Order: sequence, then C-alpha cells, then structure tokens
Amino acid sequence: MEPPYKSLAELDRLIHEPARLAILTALSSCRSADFLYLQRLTGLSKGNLSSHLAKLEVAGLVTIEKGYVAKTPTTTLSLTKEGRSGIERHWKRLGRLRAAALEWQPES
Amino acid sequence: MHTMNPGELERIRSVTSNYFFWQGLRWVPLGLVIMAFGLRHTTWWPLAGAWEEVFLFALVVLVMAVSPLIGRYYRRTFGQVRDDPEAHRRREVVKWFFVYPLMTSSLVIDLVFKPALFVTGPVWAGGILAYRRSTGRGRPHYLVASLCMLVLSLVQWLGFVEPGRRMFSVFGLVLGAIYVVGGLLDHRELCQILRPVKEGQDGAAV
Repeated sequence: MEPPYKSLAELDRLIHEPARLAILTALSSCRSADFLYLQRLTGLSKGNLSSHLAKLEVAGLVTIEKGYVAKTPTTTLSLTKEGRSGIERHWKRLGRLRAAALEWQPES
Repeated sequence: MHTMNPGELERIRSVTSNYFFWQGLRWVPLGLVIMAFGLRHTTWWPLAGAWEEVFLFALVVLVMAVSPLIGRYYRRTFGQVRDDPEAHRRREVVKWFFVYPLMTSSLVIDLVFKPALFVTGPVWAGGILAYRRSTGRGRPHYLVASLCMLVLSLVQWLGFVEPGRRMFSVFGLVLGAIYVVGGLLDHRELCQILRPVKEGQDGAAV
C-alpha cells in the first residue's frame, strides 16, 4: 500500500494554501461575502487578501464585483461553479487522505 | 498565516453559513422587551395605568427603530455575507413545522391546563439546544440557557412559584435575560472570530 503522504503532492496548491483555503471555505458556505468580512475572518492585510483573491480570480475560482452600497464602495466575492466544485473536490481529497493516513501501517 | 486545522476551517464554515445568528446584539433589545413584559405582572413593576401602556409601547417602538441600526453596525464593522437559502432549507422546515409548533403548544398547555410540571421549560430547553446546533454550534452559553429553562420546571414543580400568570412572569424574565446575556456573549464570540486587522500585520485567522 502506497504511503498516503505521497498523495499529498496531488493536492491543488492554489487551493491548499492556508489563506486561500480559508477564503474558499468561507465562500463555499454562502452565496457571497464582502471584502471586509473576508479580511476579518482571515486576519490578512488588505494587500495580502487582494493578492490571494486576484490569484483565485485568474484561476477562475472566484468572481470579484465592485459596486456601491449607499455611496460606500464595496467589493463582493463569490465562488464560480468551478470554485465550488474545486473546493468540494479538495475537501473530499483531504478526507480520503486523512482516512488513508489513519489506516496506514508502515512496512516493517 | 499559520496552517489551518480542520476545527478552524469548520468554524469558518459554521460562522459564515450562520452569520446572521451570531450577530448577538440583534437579540438584546428584544430580550429587554420580553423582560419588561415578564416584569409587568410582578410586584416589582413600578408603573401603572396609562403610563404602563405608554412605556411598553415606547419600548416596542424603540426596539423596532434600533434593529436596523444594529444591522448597519454589523455590516460596517464586520462585513456582509449573503446567505445561501438552499443550505438551510431543512432547518427552516424543521423550525417552522416542528419546533415552533411544539414550543407554542407547550405555552398553551401551561397557560390553559396549568399542569404541575411547567412543560414549557423542557420543551424550550430543547428548542434552545436545537437552535444552537442548527446555527453553527460554538457558543457554550446556550447550554447554560437550556439548563435555566429546565430549572424553571423544577421551580414550579417544587412549589416555589404557582402555575399560571406568575410562572409566566418568571418565564418571561428568564427568557428575556437569556436573549440579553446570550446576545451579548454571541457578539463577544463573534468579535473573537472576526478580529480587526492592523494594516501591515497579517494575523492568524479564527
């Protein structure tokens, strides 16, 4: 049986990076969230969060909409269809890895 | 950002999915109104006649006026989340077709039949636990709130308070206090999860 840690290399690094995993996990739990909410949730600075969101947008995982709410500029983020299926696949993969790691016994 | 563990990610999911319910300050004004109505039929109530009606009316109006302001505060301070109604369809069905009718029935039973055991106590204790479970867990104070509701049943059963109007006054006071204290503690827990970020410092999430 192949050691499960070899399967770690198959994980999507774009999604698995901790900040982006937190962002995608949050967005998978709602229709959309604004920049302020994600910033508070992740603890990232504006610049850092913007950078992560830009990468996710380029990869087609999130959409970024800029608008106004009562004259206040807002940035709203939501997952694309690919983003939703991507994070779901990632969670299933993590689940399988965890199950495999719990069952795995090193060859003596 | 540090490596996230499954517990932290689950918390992100729970809070985001149930963001509205974690905005505890929303419940505080309602709690004060419930406490006022509970207090109304006790000897501690200081007002009488027209002043009583005016006060209660003004309190209800104040709560309705404050509610949107609290919503704006959360939007501006913590951000905004648009819910996914499909994700909570089961909860809404169970809530409106099972839990709420059960809780209403228990009130009617206690009001009309005045049984020895205050039925509303354990039923609403279960309702509080169901609420906590269905809105993202965490918030251990709801376990204490549930226990308080159970204790109410004992208070009547042991004869400390007679069934009927007096018991409902005590129930109103306890329920109102649960809304107020629970709401403040919900808000506190939300503040610990959604911490302000100082620019230039990338803190850890959740």
